[in-house]
Amino acid sequence: MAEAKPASQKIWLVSNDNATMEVDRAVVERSMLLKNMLEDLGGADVSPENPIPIPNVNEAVLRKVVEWCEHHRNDPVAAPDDESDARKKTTDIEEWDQKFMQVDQEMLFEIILASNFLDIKPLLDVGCKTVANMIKGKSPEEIRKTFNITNDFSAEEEEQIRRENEWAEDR
Amino acid sequence: LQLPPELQLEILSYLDFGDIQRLRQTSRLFRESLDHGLMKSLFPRLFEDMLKTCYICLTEGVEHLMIMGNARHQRYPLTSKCFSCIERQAGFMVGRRYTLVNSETVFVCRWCGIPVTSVMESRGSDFHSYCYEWYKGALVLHHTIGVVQWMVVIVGSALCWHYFIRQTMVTIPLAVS
Repeated sequence: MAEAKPASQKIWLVSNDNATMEVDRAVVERSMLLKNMLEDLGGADVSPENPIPIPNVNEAVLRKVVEWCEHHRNDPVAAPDDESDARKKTTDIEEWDQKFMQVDQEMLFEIILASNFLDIKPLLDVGCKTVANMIKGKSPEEIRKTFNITNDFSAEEEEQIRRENEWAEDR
Repeated sequence: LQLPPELQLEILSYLDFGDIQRLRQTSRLFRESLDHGLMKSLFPRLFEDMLKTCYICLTEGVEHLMIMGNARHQRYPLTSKCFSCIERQAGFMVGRRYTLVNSETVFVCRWCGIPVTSVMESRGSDFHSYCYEWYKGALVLHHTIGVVQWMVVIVGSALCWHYFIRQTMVTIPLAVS
């Protein structure tokens, strides 16, 4: 094992549809899963001929995830959940991430799943916040439209919901 | 949503009570899965969160901008109303006392019709200080016009008396007025 790992050390990843990509080790290490794996492995055996397989992530998604990691390669590693109990979580997302997340919904969910699998907590948070923002402040009808939810309430149930909200004059 | 439950929970944890209520109104699946137990675990302070949610627009409001609902109502604590929903409906009643969610009791401003809460600068219990300035202005204007009208009447009467003293058709109504 090399005693000092150079920052520019390359790692090769292969998606489940057999696309190989070359990524800096520092970038790859945004993923806790791969970071731990590389540490265990010593990083010695990874080569273009012997890349790390990333099952259940396809090329398009993997490229997206790598793009995010590239941009955030120098972010400080977040302190492990200092305020998991505080319910007042903000859904603010920095501008670059907002742009990054402007993808179709399928891609968005794929990114969330991939970041969960690869254990990239900040990316997972951004993804979840993006979905949360698609719900926040929306009317039920708007939410249905956004997520393609079919309204399967019967007329009766519909009426009941309406009444629940209507008990208006309770002086 | 095509995500595993733990990720769905993660997303829900970013939403407030009202958001989830609206989500529950979208379909049976959400209505049944987002049940009381889950809500309890998502909102450790469910009671307070419900109190702070306007039951009409289902958005979380600020405590001092919401009216407390009737505690005996079967939907309590989801009975609070936010100021904007009240205004959109019947509006506030001047002279009535309202209890806010932060348990402050307030009266309605007699100028703008919005409650005078302790966070706003106020004059007495039923005026905002800003509104009071307007009220004072209107009052001064009202009285000034009154005084001017009076003076016109007096001067006019005096002139009539002076010029038409001999004509009973004028002096009798004048005396009456």
